[in-house]
Amino acid sequence: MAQLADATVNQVRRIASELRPSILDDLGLGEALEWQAREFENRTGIACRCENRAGPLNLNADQSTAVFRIVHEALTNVLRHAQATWVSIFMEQRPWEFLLTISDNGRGIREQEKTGRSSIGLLGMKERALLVGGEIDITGVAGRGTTIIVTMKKTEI
Amino acid sequence: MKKILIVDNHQVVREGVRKILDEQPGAKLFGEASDAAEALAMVREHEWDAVILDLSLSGRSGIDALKELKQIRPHMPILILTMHSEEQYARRVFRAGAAGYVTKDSSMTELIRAVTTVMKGGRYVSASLAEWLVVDMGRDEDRPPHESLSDREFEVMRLIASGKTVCEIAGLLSLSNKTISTYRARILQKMSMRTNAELTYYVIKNGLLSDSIQ
Repeated sequence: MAQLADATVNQVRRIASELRPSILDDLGLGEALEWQAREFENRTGIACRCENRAGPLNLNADQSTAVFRIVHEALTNVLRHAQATWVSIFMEQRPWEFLLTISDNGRGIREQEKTGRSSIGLLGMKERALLVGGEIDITGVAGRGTTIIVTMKKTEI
Repeated sequence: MKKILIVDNHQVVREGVRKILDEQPGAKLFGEASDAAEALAMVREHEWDAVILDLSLSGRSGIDALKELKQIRPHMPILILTMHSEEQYARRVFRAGAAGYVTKDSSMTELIRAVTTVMKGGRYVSASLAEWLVVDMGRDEDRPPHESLSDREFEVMRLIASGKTVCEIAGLLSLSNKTISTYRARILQKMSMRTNAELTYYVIKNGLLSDSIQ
């Protein structure tokens, strides 16, 4: 139990200290995610579309970095596990929060996959979100796909 | 001097609560907010001895507002005053950090008792709610499926059951149709249902929908 706690603490530290991806500084979060989507599609052949209904995004730097990395992790999971042919990223916001939905048409994540030993990636995603005042909710429908909803509280209205 | 903040989007309610509490002995200062944003701003600026918070605020969910208020001032007592009957929201509300829960059809005496209790640092529930919670705690095995819904999904489920379309819900919550459709699909999945009609039947049968003005 102590070992697991140590491992988690180390993981959290590692995540928190990672450098901000330079692309975020160049493009801003909305375009950086669109870039990520295009790269993913070109690299893997899985159709990946990004729709930004949020308009100008004003998350802080840590939150933008977290969202960027969460999307990266989610897309990696789609490639590795989902057996999907498309994945879509949708963003919108309200005055007090930012919402991002990642949906794929794969086999659907199962409950045991969310908590088992191979769920360290998912744990990392949740930690990233929690550290910056966000939440992640993951649901899978067998044979139909998986949806991840990321919510991020805005710090200043 | 006790400072009490009343948060409700109906002026009549705010006035009513203020009058009831003002008749009690002791110097008091009242603040009023008609929505979550105002309440958050006022709580950030001043310390309050108690906040009386309605759950049905327009736009932003009352439970989200409750969680935010607790983050800003973790030790400030928040008493929920709501039209919704007790069982529907009680567990979620206490899990989110509320100090007490009172329905709007309670007596004035009950409201006064509730405010006094939470200002002293205690927790307040009516006798009937206390009984319900105790019974509910015993029901550990069969957790009802709607317990696995997030607070947001729970809210959307109730709105669907009350007959609102995806479009109307999107408007009420300031979100896109797409996101509401996503929530709806997830709710159906988590509840193992296929249609809005099934959801509505479940919600009504389990008393999760009260007659609220919304």
